[in-house]
Amino acid sequence: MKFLTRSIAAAAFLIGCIMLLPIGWGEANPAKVETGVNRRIAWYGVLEDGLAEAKRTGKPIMLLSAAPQCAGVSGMW
Amino acid sequence: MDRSFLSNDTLIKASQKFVCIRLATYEDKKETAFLTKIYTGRSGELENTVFCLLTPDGKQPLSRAGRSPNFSFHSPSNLADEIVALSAKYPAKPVKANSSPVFPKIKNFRLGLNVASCDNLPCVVIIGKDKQEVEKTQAKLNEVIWSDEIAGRFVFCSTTKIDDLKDIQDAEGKTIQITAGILAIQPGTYGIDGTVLEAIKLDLDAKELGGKLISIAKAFEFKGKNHSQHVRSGNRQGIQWETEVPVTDPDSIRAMERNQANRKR
Repeated sequence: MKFLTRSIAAAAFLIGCIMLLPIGWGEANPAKVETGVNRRIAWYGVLEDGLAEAKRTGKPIMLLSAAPQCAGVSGMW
Repeated sequence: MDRSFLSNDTLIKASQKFVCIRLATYEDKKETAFLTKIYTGRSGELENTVFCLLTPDGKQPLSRAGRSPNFSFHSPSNLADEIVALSAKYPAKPVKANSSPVFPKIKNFRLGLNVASCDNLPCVVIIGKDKQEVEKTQAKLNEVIWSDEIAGRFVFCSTTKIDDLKDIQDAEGKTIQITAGILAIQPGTYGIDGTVLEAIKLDLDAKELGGKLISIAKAFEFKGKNHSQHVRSGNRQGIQWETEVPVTDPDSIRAMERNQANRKR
């Protein structure tokens, strides 16, 4: 019973991660090996840099944040 | 939910009207404080993901904040339309002729390599003996990285410590020995190691440098990752990423505790 509860909880967490996985942060078809990188959004990865660029250009900001690990495992948003 | 939300072409085009900031949650104290002011979940704590549109000074929200864009926007084109509408209210101001865009780096090499792995993108690391040398190379790169063929196709970072590269190997499996230059790296599965795709010479002019980056981007092979398989195999291999700031997302904390308990068995 304990095992079942744990398994359900683990599955629910993984599904949650996948649902929130925005979204093109980690692309998708595991079997597919593609060559060349498709067009992507050019992100600022440091808040200070992004705010400085917004100040320089007067442009509004699209802010996103995500943990570069899932349940402590790196390499996946 | 559409996992390709932010990969939508219309949205990518519209995003150029905004400054796009994507932070790494739990990887910086100041950024954590900033994000906590923008959005916290039911727990009242910062959770793994945050999304919001903000005024140019970063102080006022222009959309409902949430955990991801589809909390407020039902489709990528809906978000793109909103970006276009808001950009009319906040038109970009003319920039000085001698003013360059701020260089889009990740705060350090360790995090940059991991972010590149998460994104399935090549990591470009600038190596220099000191901050001045790094900034000089950065300025040179900054002249070429905003073209359509390069923007968004690399994760940039820098280091002045050769020891940072101890887990980076060349194509023959040898550890890299370099004190100055630019390396394009294929990040490993977990973003904690990598292989050099190309060592870029510092004496290239802007045109040559741009051409080199374009050819690396075109040749780059990225393998999609299956989320649950990745986490499972990472756990089996004992991969444990140390965050700079303690994780406060209740779901993540529970998952990490479960993983630790499983490893002890």
